[in-house]
Amino acid sequence: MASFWLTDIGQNRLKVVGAANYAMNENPERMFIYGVMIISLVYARRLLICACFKITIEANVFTLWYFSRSHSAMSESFDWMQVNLFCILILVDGAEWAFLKNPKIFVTVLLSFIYATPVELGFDPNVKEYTPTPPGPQYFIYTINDGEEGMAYFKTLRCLSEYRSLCISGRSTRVWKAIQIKSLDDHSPVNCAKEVVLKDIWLGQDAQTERELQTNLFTDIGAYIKRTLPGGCIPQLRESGSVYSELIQDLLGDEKWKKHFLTILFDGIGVPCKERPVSARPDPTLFDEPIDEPVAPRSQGADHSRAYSTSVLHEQTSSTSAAPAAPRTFAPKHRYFVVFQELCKAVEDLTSFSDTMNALKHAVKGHFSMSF
Amino acid sequence: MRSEMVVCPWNEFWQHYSPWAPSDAIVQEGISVLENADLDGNEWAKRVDPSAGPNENAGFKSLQDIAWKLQHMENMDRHASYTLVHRPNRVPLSTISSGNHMTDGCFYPSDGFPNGTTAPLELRRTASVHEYKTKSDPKRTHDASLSYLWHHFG
Repeated sequence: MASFWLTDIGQNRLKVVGAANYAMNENPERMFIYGVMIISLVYARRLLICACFKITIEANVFTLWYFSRSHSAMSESFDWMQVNLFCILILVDGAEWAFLKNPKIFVTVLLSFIYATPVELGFDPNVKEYTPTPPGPQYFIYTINDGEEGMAYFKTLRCLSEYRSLCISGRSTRVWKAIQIKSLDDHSPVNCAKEVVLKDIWLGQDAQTERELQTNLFTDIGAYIKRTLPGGCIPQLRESGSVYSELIQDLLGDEKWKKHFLTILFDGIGVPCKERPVSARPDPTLFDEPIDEPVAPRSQGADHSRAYSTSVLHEQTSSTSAAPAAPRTFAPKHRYFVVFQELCKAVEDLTSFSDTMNALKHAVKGHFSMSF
Repeated sequence: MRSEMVVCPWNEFWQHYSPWAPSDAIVQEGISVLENADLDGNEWAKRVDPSAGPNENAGFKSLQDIAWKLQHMENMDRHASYTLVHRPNRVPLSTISSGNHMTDGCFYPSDGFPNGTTAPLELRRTASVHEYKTKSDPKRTHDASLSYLWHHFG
């Protein structure tokens, strides 16, 4: 009997994690999600998948979960006799007897979730879902607080690219075709609005943003050109031949190289994930059964390494190896939004050979500028 | 997945991750509400046949009753944003695979709660990005970007 329950708990934990991953991948509004395991009697086993958070009732376990893009945490499971007695006795023997057992924590948890605001339950205040009336295609409104440009609002038109990770932690990149709108209340496009690309990504808090990367890159390239171009001799081009050398020197002059990079219109940093508590520790026995084989990502040609964290891939593909998985730092992440002027298309979606070659040509030129 | 999970002592978990922490006075009031509530006794437990295998649906009703009592507390400076709703499936969820994301109950946003006991309950608040991408444009023949122009043409 005991082994049955232990096995079952591991399975139900996997269900909770799987459902949390599903909810996080499905809903761009999600920053994090909660799971709750509530104790009950032996016959009350239940997995309850919720729109807002999950409840699992199992035998003799009460556990809370927190899932985010930087890490996920589970409270220690412990003997919730007070809750158990509360649940049982309030129903069996009446409230007066039951409350002598102090149901304080149980009531605290329920109150906290019932009276929580959407933001407190993990819905990002910067991303709102709308269904127009009369019913039409659903869309999302992104609010981007760009320090210099102020607040900007974008309505999603179509999803250009998404990455449905097998892990909850990660960058979880989504790319939308979007258009700037007037406000949260007025969803009509601003004057002269053009379709743009909005990238929604989770970055480590120490990582440089795309604007910072591009600014630093442009500064370096500009400094190099200023230093070398007037002399007419770029060391890397000495053996390239005159035609190629002239072509590149033309590219580097008058900042023509900049056209091979996307133009960042807006960017903004969203709400950060919570950091890991000091006392939190990994528990390799959390799930009973090992996951045998990683499942390939859906998109053909996608980068498989990003479906897993490095250590998970290592753990799953080297189960016979004695080498332990590399320890994770659980670095906190924050959400980052960036809007590009140029309307992009995923290379995998290109249907014309000439378009593909053009994209490659521009990529090579941009890369060449960076390689100095 | 297991490598991205950490385990945390209960007290620290609650202090660090809880949505918000009700004060002792509020919790005590919640307990008082339940003490004076007319709940369903142990009738739910009598309906359960342990020999019939997993049947958690019967046990859930009691939680719904408790949550509904708590969400109508007075003297709260907060609005009860969510309602615990029971919409059981025919198949207990503990018997299905973890890849199946069926739902049979949830904390549903109170503002959008459908009227009537038989009203369909859309548990998922949003369609998936995946669906948004494929269903709205299955063959990429329709570009939603033009939809904002439609109303000009009636």
